[in-house]
Amino acid sequence: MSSISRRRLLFSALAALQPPKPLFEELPPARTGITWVHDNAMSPNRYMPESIGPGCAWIDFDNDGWMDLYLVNYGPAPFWQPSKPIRNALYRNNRDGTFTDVTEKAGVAGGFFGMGAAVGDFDNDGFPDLLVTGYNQVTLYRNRGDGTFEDVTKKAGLDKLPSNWPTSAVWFDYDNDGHLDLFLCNYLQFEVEPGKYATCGDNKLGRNYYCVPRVFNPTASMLYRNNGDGTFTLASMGTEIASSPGKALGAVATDINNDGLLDLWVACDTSPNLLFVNRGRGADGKRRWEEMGLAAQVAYSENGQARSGMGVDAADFDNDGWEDLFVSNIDQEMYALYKNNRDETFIDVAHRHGVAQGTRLFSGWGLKFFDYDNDGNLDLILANSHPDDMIEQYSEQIKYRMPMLLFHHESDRLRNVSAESGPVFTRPLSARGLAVGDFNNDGLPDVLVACNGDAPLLLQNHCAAGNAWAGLHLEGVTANRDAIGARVTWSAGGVRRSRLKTSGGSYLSSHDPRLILGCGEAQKIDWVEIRWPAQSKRVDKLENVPLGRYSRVVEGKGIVS
Amino acid sequence: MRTSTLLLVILLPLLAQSPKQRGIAAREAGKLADSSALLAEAAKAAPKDPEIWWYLGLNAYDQDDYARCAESFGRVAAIDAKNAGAHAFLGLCAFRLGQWEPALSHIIAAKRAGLAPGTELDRVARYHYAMLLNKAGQFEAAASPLSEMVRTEPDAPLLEELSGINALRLSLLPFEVPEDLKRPVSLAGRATILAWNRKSAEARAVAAELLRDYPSQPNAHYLMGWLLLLGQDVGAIAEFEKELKVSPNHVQARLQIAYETLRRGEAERGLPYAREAARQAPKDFTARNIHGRLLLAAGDAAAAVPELEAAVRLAPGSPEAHFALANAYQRTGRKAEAEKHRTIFKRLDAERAAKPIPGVQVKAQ
Repeated sequence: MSSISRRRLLFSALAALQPPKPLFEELPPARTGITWVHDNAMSPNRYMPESIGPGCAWIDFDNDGWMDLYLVNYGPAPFWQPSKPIRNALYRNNRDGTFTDVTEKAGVAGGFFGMGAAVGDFDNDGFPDLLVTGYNQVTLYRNRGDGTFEDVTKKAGLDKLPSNWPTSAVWFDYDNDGHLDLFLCNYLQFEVEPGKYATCGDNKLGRNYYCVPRVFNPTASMLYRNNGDGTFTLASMGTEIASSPGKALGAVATDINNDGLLDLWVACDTSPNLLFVNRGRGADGKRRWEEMGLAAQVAYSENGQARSGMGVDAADFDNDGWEDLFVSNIDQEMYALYKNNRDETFIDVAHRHGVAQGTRLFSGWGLKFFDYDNDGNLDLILANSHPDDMIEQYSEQIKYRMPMLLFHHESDRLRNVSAESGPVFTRPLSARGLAVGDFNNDGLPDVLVACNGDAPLLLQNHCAAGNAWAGLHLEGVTANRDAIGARVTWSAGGVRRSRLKTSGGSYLSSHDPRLILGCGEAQKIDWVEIRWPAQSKRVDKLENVPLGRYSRVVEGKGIVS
Repeated sequence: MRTSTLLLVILLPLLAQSPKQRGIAAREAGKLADSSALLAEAAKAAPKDPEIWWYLGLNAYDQDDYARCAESFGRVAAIDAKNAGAHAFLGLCAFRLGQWEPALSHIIAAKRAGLAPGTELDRVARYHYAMLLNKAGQFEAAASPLSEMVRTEPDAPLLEELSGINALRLSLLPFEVPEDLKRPVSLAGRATILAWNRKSAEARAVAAELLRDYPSQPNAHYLMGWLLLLGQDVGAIAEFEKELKVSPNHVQARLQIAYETLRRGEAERGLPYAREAARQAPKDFTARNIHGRLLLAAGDAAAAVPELEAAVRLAPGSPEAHFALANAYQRTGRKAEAEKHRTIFKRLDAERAAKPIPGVQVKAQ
């Protein structure tokens, strides 16, 4: 045996003494520098908004190709005044696994009772802008491109909302004019009379408790059209969006019928989920939205009960070319996985995939279909926690803090792999928002989780599958700059897969906008086809797409960097 | 002032009072016979005065004269059909007369008329309601007031017996329990009360003792199955299956298996149980509905349609039934009928959503 071989042997032996890294490793604040903590404003009155937030977002605000992150906090509200200054936080990615708080310099501290965040380049200037939702208001921060943001809420016409509890927000181009429009979920009517807010109690413990949402009236969500000049016009008035009140918490823009028009899948809490199908312009020239949750069989549980819908996602999880839907609910209700029947109806296949039984004792918030091991199939991650911090007083089985869940897509089924994916999947959390993003650009999507009244979690993906991947950062020219609505199809090793670039999803949160194309066992990508959304409708076919890195692809120009 | 004048001053208000007022005053003084005589006199003059009959009824109840009690409160109810208290007393009087079915009907009428919650009469009526539901064999319905009493009035008499009778599904009142059933009833009651107090492990231990000592006691396995179901334990189905060996005609055990398999996404496994339950109880909405829903979940929408149509006929006010039938029609291409039942479902669902949630009080602060 040569000396080199002996050295290798020794090296291997030493490596064997080290425990393998978990699939997802929780990175502590001491390592990342993310020391911000959410204040959940908990009051003796147990006001409903306390239990609902917060969200989080990945945003490459300085366009350096590295994902920065944004965290939303509560703040002053008519029903609560913080005893000490609290604020949202923007952390710049230092490209070495650490982050620096740049909130004050960037001017995105918030200053109101924040809920969630949505990232989108509404002015098509190439710099991602930031919308923060909260009780009674939203704030639109326009990215100046110099590391700072400008509050343009009033200028944009978003300072006076018709409904007053916006939760999740979605940037998408519903009219295909190349400008991102804005959908705002609205939760419920919390102010029961002017200046008076609902609280429930006293319970048998002699305290107030969080009201069950069923006692509140639903409200209408809002759709704003981007006028292309920095202003927005309320476009939901007179449509079924305005006439279909719900208690909306999560929303995703997707295309359920492959007609090239983005639809909206909206999770509602104790009211029927909503599926707004975009019918385009009618004969009268007016844009038509048809609410068809009930007809599509996604509004209620199989026994005709409105569930407690919180987080959502849409993806073609079975790779049949049609977008499927997901919604998380509260314990005993089980989460739903709706397979698209290709006729504007769906069937809940959560049982078939073990998702229903696996979530029976869970209450879900943020979630995402994503391919964590780049095998080309979509997996699923779920953030959980019961909304009521006193649940343990009433229930033997249900806890307030719950661990996350991870499902791996294998052999045409989803399998719960939480137990083998790292200690973080046994750690009870008060999780709410969840955003998937590749903060270290290694092609393995990482996960950011926002927790109610607690520090956020950054989970690093250490998947050792070693599958090849190609990252794409799409840039529309005629189409909206963020290319939302684009369909990317690729072939690797002769296996054809596709993804629709949806927007929104999860809960109060915003994902990394880049696409990662997993190759599975193939060592190269044969080709990539990009169908840009209308108004472009252009199809670009790419060959020789580089693996193991992100490429910037501009509509009509192909890979530019 | 002269003595005669003084007496006049004292007696005049009393002399001026009507027989009704004097009757009420006599009742308050504990002179029930005098009170009843005065009120009877008053009733002759004012036979439509519900207050007179109310007090006559109270006197009769307190004097254990339940026939007269029933007659008096019957008068009140005839004059004022919305008098929840009268219906409640009618139920209590009928109970004392051994008229179980009328007693239950009157107490249900009292609840519908809005018997004020939390009052002494409400508490007594609820207690009798639970007993009478047990006696009538309506065990699922009886469990609700019983479990509430366990939480709110744990010292109520015979609660263990009542809970045990309920758990073992015996159509008996506590005093009717034969000697050889007293211990099984006691064990079953203890287990049930522990479960309602969220002490599942202890409840299962007591139920295990029951099964050890009385392995062939009907409904003992059913009780264990129910306890395991509370803990989402898959062993529940096996217990219900064991119950079927002891009690082959147990419709509820079959329905429990059917519902649990539906919840677990095991429609094929649950179908034989649902099919048999629907055959045994063709007029039972729950049996027909679950059979139809399992057929639907198993992908046989065509077979689900007639079952769900039957369920809708049995319970036309059930939103769930219309919802499932709409889905079955949709999946068999009968879109117009699907739309019709979706419309009915939406109306029923809106009515359901508008109902207040019991026990939840919203305050504005």
